[in-house]
Parts: sequence; structure tokens; C-alpha cells
Amino acid sequence: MVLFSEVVSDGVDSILDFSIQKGSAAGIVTSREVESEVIARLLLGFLAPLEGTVSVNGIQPYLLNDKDLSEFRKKIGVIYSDGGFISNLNVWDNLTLQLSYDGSLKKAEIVERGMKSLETVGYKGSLYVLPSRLSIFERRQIAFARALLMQPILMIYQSTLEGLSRSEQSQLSSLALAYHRQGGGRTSLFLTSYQDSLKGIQADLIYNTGGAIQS
Amino acid sequence: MVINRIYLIDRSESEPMVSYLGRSALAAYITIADLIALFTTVFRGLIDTIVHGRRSVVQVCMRQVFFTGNEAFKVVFVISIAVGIAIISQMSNVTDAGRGSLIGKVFVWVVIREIAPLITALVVIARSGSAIAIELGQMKLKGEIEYLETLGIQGEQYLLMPRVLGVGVALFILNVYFNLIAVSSGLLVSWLGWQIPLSHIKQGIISVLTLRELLISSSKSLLFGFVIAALGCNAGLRVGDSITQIPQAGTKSVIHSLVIVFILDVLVSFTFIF
Repeated sequence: MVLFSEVVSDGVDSILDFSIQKGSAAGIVTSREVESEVIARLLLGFLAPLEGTVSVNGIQPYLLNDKDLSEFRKKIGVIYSDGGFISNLNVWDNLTLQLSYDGSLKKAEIVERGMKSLETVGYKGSLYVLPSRLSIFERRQIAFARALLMQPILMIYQSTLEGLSRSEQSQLSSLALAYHRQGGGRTSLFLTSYQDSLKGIQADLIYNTGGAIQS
Repeated sequence: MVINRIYLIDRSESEPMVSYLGRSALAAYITIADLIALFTTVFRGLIDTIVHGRRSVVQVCMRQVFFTGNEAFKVVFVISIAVGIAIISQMSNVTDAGRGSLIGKVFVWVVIREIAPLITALVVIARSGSAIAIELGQMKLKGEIEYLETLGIQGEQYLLMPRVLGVGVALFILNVYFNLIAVSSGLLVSWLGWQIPLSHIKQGIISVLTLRELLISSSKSLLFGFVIAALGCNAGLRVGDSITQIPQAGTKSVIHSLVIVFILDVLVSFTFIF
């Protein structure tokens, strides 16, 4: 469960107070993009709230030590609006970076999983170009493929469905929903400052940082 | 008149000497404390990489060895030939081309022990130290270090350890090349230009080239490499929110590296003398 209990933080104008049940898909509509960023950073333990509590499955990320925080973050998939890549690594290296750093899989297994993941998201471009050469949609496809490799229990989509054509938006929404429905108590959190972008995701709950909640 | 006015303004606004010295001492202390903390992180990262077999970290390390070593090789090649020829020419003139064994000894004392580690370090400071600072500064500014950490990758381990080790190893290899090329070119020129028998110079080199001399040269190059990379990383990671801090980080890394490398050179030389 994701819990924001009377959270006050820099960059967010209002008090954040909501909870998202395990296994549900929720949309968080923010008044501006920086609020989405702050919420994601609070969930990932990059920021501690000034007041209140943030927890994911009972864990308050900002209280963890470096090692535990790294382990905690491996269970969360984040699709940043720009993809969230290392600019001097090519697409393939960015995709497999987490697996190859983890060191638990053999190279052949990493290749197999990486290719399967790319197939799932429908990426057909080159694997050896730098991320700067990719379109916004392709970046998000690769970011999604990278997240899939770790099978996270919580997926955070940070403005992922914004700035895309209708067909691209529907393709990414379908992917997100398909992953969410695979079960295992997966929770999906769509952070956006444009409520219209949430139309295709059939959210169980939409929370507006201004205070309104729609179920 | 204008110059006088500017001079007067500068004098009136300059801080007192005691304050300046105190600030400089504090800055030096922070840099050294950061360096020690950074080396501790590097050491912990090395153990973790070995234990977990982290392939991506090894890849970054190999890439760093390649970029620092391979791409600096051309510059080091040219400089080492020039240094070899210059030292032999000077020594041949001083000794009137008569004492081949002395030339050989001076070659070991001057080139292998002092000049080779220092010049290769200078090349690497100019090329790689500033490049590391700028690269990490840009990564920090673009939020890429946070992206790495989002993936559960400890930024310090993935970014610092491979760079520090990579530059150390590359500098060690460059130092070996420098010595080999400088000695070979020196021998060749002394034989062709002054007809000094190669056997005389060789004898002089062999008589003083002990394991200790090689150890001094190697330990200097390794140490310089670690410090140059660590200072580059430190300067890069201190970049804040402004793009203008990136070139400043590059400059800072070069200046700090120059000062510390020369101080370390003296310290290592003294350590081995006593």
C-alpha cells in the first residue's frame, strides 16, 4: 500500500493525504509538473517530507540506509517522462544496466530477457544509438522495457502519457494496464498534471493534489 | 588615474590576510576529507563488485582504462621520445660523451624515478581529470545520478570506483610505456649521434635499476592516477544547479590535481629515500 499521510513538502502547494491500496491503479493529478516530480522523489526516498509520513508497503523510504534503499528501489519501476537514461550509454546498455549491475544473471540470460522485454513493448529501433536520438515515445518504450525486466511491485508513471499522439498514448496505456493486470498485487501510480491523459488507464482512484478524490 | 582607482578599490575590498588563510586552510581540509571519504567508498565498492560480480561496473572500469590509457598514448609517445633525446643530449654534452655508464645512471634517477610518472600524470590531468569532472558534473546537473539510484544502483559505486581504479591502472601502463620509449629513444640517439657504446649506457642503467627504483616509479604512477581521478570525481559531484559550475569543476579538478600530484611526488620520493 502507498500511503501519504498529511505530507508537507517543498515543491507541493497543498497537504498530500491519500492512500492507494495494494493491487490498484491510481492517478494523481498535480497542479504542475514539479509536484509530480516531488511525489515520485518522496516515494523513492530522495526526499523526506517536512511533515507527515510517506510509506510504501509499510516502509518509509527516507529512513532507510543506502544499502536497504537500493534494494527497496529495485522493487519500484519508474517511467520518467524523458525515460531517465544515462546519456552516454546506448539503448541496450541502458536497458540492461540494472540486470548487469545486479550480477545475478549470466550474460546470455540478460540478452534473452532484454530482447523479450523489447518485443513486449514493441520497440523496433536500433539498440546501439544513444538515448538522445530517440523520440519521446521510444524513450518511454525503452524505459518501460527496462522496468519490466525487474518485475516491480510498484510502477510509477511520471507524466508518461503526456505529449504523445493518441495512438502512442493508447499503446503505452495498454502496456501499463497489461502489466498491472498480470496480478501479484502490482500497484500502478500515474502522476500527471493533465487529467485528460488518464482517460485510457481505467484508474481505480484519481486523487487531485488540490484535495478532490474520485473513485 | 584609472588604474590607481581600481587598485584602491581592490585593496579596500580585499579580505584580511588571516581570514584568507583560514578560508584556504578550511578548503584544503575539506578537499582532503572528501578524498579520504571517496577512497573509502572506492574500497568498499571494489569489494562489493568482486563479491557480486557486477559486470556493468567492470565494464565502466575497462572503458576508463581504454579512454585514459589508449587515447593518451599518442601524446605520451611523442613526449617520451622528446624527453629521452633531450636528456641524452644534455648528458652527452655535460660528460663530453665520455661516460656512458653515468648517462645510464642519470637516466634511471631522472627519467624513470621522476620525469616519467610526473609527465604522464600531467598528460592525464589535462585529458582525463578534467573530462571526469565535466562528465560527472553534467550527469549530476541532468539528474542522471538520481536516475541511476532509482534503478537501485549506488551512484558512488558505479561512478567513482571504476574511474579511480581505471585511471590508476591506465597511468601505471602509460608510465611503463613512457620509460620504455624514453630509454629506447635515448639509447638510439646516443649511439647514432655521439657514438657512445650502447653497452656502456646499458651497464649504467642496469647497475642502478633495482626493484626499488621500479617500485618508486610504479607506486607514484598508481597513486597519481587514483588521486587525479578522485579529485576529478569530487569536483564533478560538487556541481550544483548551474551549468556554469561545470567548466569550473573541470578547472578546479586540474588545479587541485596539479598541486596534490607535485606534493605527493615529493612525499613519495622522501619516503623511499629514508
